[in-house]
Amino acid sequence: MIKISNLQKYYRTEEVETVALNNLNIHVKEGEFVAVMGPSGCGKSTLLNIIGLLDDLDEGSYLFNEIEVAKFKERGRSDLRKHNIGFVFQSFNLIDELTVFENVELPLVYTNVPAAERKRRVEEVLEKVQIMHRRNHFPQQLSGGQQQRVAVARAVVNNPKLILADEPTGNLDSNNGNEVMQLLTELNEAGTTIVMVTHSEHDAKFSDRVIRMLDGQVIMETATL
Amino acid sequence: MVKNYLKLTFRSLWKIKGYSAINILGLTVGLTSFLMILLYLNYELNYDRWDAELEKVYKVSLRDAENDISPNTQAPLATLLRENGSQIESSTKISTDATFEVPLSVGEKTFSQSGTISADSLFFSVFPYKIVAGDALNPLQKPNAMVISESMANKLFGNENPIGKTIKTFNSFDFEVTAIMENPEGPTHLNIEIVYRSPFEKQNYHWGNWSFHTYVKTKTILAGNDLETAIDRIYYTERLMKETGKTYDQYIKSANRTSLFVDAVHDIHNFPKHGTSNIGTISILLVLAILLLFTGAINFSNLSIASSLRRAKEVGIKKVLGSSRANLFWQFMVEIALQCTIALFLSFLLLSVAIPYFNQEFGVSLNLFGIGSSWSLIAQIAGCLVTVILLSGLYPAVFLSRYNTTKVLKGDYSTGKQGLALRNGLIVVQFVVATFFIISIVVVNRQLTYMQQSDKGFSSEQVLRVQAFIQKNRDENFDQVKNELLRIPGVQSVAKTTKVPGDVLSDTSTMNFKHAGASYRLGSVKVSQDYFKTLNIDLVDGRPFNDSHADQHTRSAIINEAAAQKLGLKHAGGAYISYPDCDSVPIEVVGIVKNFNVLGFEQEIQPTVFTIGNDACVFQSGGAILVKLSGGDTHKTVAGIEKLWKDIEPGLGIRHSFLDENFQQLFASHLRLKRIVTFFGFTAIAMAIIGLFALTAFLIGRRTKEISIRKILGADLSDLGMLLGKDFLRLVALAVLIAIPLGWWATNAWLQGFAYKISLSVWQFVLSAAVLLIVAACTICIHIVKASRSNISDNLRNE
Repeated sequence: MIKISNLQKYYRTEEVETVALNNLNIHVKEGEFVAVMGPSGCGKSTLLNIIGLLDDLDEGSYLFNEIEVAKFKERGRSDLRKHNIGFVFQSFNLIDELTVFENVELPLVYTNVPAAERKRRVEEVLEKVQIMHRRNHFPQQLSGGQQQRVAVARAVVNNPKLILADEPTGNLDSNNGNEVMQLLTELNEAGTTIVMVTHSEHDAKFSDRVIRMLDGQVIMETATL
Repeated sequence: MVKNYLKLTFRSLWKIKGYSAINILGLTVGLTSFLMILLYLNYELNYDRWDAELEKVYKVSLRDAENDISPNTQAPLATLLRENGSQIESSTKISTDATFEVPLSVGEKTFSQSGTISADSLFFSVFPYKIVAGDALNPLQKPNAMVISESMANKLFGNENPIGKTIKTFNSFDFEVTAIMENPEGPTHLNIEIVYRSPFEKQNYHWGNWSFHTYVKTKTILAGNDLETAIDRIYYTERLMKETGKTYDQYIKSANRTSLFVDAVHDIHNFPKHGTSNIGTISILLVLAILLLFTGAINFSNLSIASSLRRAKEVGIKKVLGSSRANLFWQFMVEIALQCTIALFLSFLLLSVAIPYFNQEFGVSLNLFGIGSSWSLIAQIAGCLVTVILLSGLYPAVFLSRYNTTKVLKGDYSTGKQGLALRNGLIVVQFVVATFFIISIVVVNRQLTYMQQSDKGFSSEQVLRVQAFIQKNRDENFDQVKNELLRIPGVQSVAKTTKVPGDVLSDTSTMNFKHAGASYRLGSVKVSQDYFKTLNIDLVDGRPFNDSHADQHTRSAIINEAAAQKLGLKHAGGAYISYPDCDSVPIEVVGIVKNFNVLGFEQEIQPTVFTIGNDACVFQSGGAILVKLSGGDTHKTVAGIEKLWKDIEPGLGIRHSFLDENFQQLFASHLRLKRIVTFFGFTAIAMAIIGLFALTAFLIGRRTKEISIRKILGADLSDLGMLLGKDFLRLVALAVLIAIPLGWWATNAWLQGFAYKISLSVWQFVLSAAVLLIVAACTICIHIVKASRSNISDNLRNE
């Protein structure tokens, strides 16, 4: 599903050029659950942003489902992203002014799904993450675990082919964290490809494969047992 | 999608109610001021547009060979043009002063009424007033016919049918009400309630009588120039050609010539070819209102950009979820449009409260849904709303939708220098406007104080102006009237004059006096012997009027200093002048008086000749009687005068006012301007300060962590003050530097409209700048003090 070859990414200021990603080559198969690990500043979040089409690459190739997306403009990336990719963030990133229902509904609004169909799908996914009873609450009225479950619901409501999770349990206690990892595992078992950035060895064990990075390069790839 | 936008908009606004309220309120005030002036402008531009037939009606005036303009024309002119002009359908002449209050009586009831004119029988064939009762075909056919308005009919007769009833004028002349005319729907320069046939129509019908306004109505709509040429040719051919012996085509090539010109009736009020109009004042008001609206929009824009911090996360998330920049842009535009629409709605409410005060102040009848309301006005308001939405919202919407997704998702909400230049520019513009207003307030107030306190050259204290309706009481019977008044205890002196100091409508025409073989344009005023004594006007040279035959019968004159200068006379006595076409009556200049100001401060003091009597070819009447009261119980004296007047002019009532109040009328429009400028000024300043207050709160709020760390490292209040305040104060100082030359230019241009004026001095501008800087500094200090007192550990823990 994802084929990245000779990826280079630089960050430039007036005086300094920093190499964020250096000649990266990564393949992710459809249906895989891949964890990306490494120390702070190694480039894993940058990699995730590029995979999620939130950022562009300076050199190299990025094939998403055999489509070369490296040269896509913002419009093209936005289109591809909203139909194919779901995001889960460490700090949940829910919109405070929208209710749980409205937050989860938002991706469907952007893909022009009719209202009745939106309602059906949102309710279905809220049931799945067991947060339906709080659908009219606002994010600030929920616990951290509940907010992350809403974020996961929002990420999957459009049935994306790929979920990108950036330290999804970073702000959660172990119980809630386990719940979220369980959700992700279930999604993966249903066929969704997952790429997850994590510091947690415990969370990495849920994945099929771990990619370890250092200083913008892949230093090791291991299959998990 | 729109439903989502609206839902989110309301919730976002509610979340920061305080700032939302400031934003919307600022816009509301700006919009209200602007819409008020827009209504006023529409009202003024609607003058004489109440009937389509008025497009064919023109007022005829005359320009003489000295290029003086006479709005008054001769009695037979209307007939001459009608009988000889193929383009002319009809014409009429009317008496010239509709503001004069005519004493009327119906049965036992008497009162004075303005808006009363005499006209010939063709008035209604020129002016399309709708006759709603009585004789609609020829309402002014009868020699004693009178047509009254609907409102006058209600006032005089209540529910009775007025047709056929009698109304008396000046307690002497009976008129029959032959018809009732509808009050026009819309303002008109004529403003009449009563039209009647003058009882002196026949006697007044000669070419020497210049007491009329002439109007013509054309058969079709013509270009003004075509009509002018036609009637000018007629006038020349019939009236002037015999003297000059030239053909018309030869005559029009002459350098100095007499000619007729026309003003289309709907241009008279706003765009007359000569004379003053209100359009200048309205234009100034419109500029001020636009400035105020601009200030509100700038506030809005600035606060929106400053508050973008709290929207950054939302923008990032939505972009991640698939929103395009266009979606985000339109979301913010809808939000801003909604706020602007709320502001517009609130401004309608505010207008409905403010309009009655405005109407009273300006003497107009504005109505949000009445006169002037039309699709055109609705389109203007819609255009205004769209402009405000774009002004207030375009940049913030573009700015907000441009947030970098990856940065905000990392928690980096800074915008760097993005938007800073524009935000700073907007602050500067706001404070330029505020400084400009402060300068205007200071200068207008100073000029007004100067005018009110300046020595007018005469004393108006304790001088009563009494209107004598009956001409005899001003002329041949004046001495008798004077003697009777002098018998009243408290009356010190009595005089008369054809030009009363402070009268708003005053004769400013001049005549070509002859002196030593040359001609000089001087004003002419008919007075009585005690005029200068009554007004305490100083004699500079020569002697005052006495009882001599020469003095009493226009063989002696007193002139003012301006006339003496013009004539080249250093002393009175021995110099002779004569009225135009009156060389056989030489008039000796026996005295020179100090210049005194009767017309206010816009015009130079006119060189003037004062004579007694009408024995020198020129007849002047009108004006009023002046009664100087001694100190003591003036109420009792005035009561005595009122009692006497019932015998002098029975059935006509008495109209009197004190001369100092009369003179104050000349300042009426300036006092009004002062109030307007003050109101606009304080509003603009308040909006700028509120905007600065809110903006400072946001921006200092963003630096909470930095402030805490600096405090830990040893920064005190003054260090923080310098750090946080210097940027803002620099902007305000820049604004002041820009505003000062603008303010100087504008106030200087306004002062050019006064012949007597203050001079602009540096301290006025320094004062304005200082006031604004101090107020801005205080506003910023409030937040700095608050920030410096906040709890360090709370701030850093939250981070």
